[in-house]
Amino acid sequence: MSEFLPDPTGPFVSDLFSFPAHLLESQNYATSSGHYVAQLNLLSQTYSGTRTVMGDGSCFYRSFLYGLIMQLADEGNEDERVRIEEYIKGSLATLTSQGYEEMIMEGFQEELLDLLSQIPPSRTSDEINLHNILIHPNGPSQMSTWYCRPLCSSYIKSNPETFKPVLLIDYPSIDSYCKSQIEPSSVESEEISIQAIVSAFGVKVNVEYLDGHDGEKVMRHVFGEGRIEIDMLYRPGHYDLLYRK
Amino acid sequence: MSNNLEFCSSFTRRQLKEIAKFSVPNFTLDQNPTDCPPGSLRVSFSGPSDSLYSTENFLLRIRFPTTHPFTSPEIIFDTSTGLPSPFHPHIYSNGHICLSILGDEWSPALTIQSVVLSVASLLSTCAEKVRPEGDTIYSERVGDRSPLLTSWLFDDDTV
Repeated sequence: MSEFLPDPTGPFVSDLFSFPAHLLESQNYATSSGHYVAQLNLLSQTYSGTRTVMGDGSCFYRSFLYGLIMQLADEGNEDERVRIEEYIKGSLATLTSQGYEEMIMEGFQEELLDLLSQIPPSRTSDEINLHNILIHPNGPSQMSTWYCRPLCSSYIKSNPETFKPVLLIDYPSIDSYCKSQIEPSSVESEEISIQAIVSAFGVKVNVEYLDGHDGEKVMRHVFGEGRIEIDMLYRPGHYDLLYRK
Repeated sequence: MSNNLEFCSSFTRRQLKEIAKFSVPNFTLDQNPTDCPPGSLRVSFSGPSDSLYSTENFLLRIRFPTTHPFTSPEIIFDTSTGLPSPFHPHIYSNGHICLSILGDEWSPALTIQSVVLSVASLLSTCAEKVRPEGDTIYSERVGDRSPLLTSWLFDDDTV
């Protein structure tokens, strides 16, 4: 579908590269007929860095978790860290009450709690170490990333009145939507699941839509609200992380 | 899935928990089948009553790729002891099963038990005992290669 293919083999999240130079070098935006280069240049007024994220169907969740964990290490976000930790601690009971198997879900929850416990007291002291934990293929990152999916389902199931009107147009039930469109590890997230995950965590995600349509503007979609804000770039079919100047 | 498919030769903590909790009336789980590679499970069961298979007995063999639980277990009808692969429009004579949750609808939330029950329910709802279209060609070509290496197309959700 997309003419700009993300890397499906990893690493989970790349080093911090200069924006938009890195994307212009690694993708063939320059030779494309769309207004991609103009849009990237517009975005460069706001952003100066990017981390590219593995393209295996979990790029949104992976970007979300990486952006969140890194910011929880920032000084001044201590109470956000406590709040998120409490939310994750309580999540297993909610999932179990919604019919998820406790013995399965607890393994994923433990990994995310383990990840949260490894956040250093200050990011400046140990940013590289935290990055390495987050991109380690056998570390807690992979299990934690998937656990965001049932958390997303759980939020939808807890707030059916918000999601039912949209979901029941295309799906017979909320449960069948969650089973087929959220929980399989290869299914990309979409607007509904993004709305649910940002609400579940109480954080804000800004997505810049690099669609190539108009060289004079880039659509920004804002999801949720919260003290923590995560910036992402969407090129059709894929999410990467953005960093402000 | 790529071609470098590897299977676990022992069970993970999660798999051991699932095995310990497996409990379905009339289904027997064998954790150490001596004639299978280590890390395999076998489940024997009789065809569901009120189905076209009510007088038959079946054997499933389950193995876990090293990427489990992010990818589905391998689950096939095991014909090595002489029990049949059921005649069913989604089940091939080499034992391979065409079922969406074993392909792109696999989720790490699914358990051995839920997958086995889904396979059994394929038999419960079947209206005609026939092989899938192209069964002979598929089974000859694929033989005992893992079904995890097949790209399945799920186009019929009526059975």
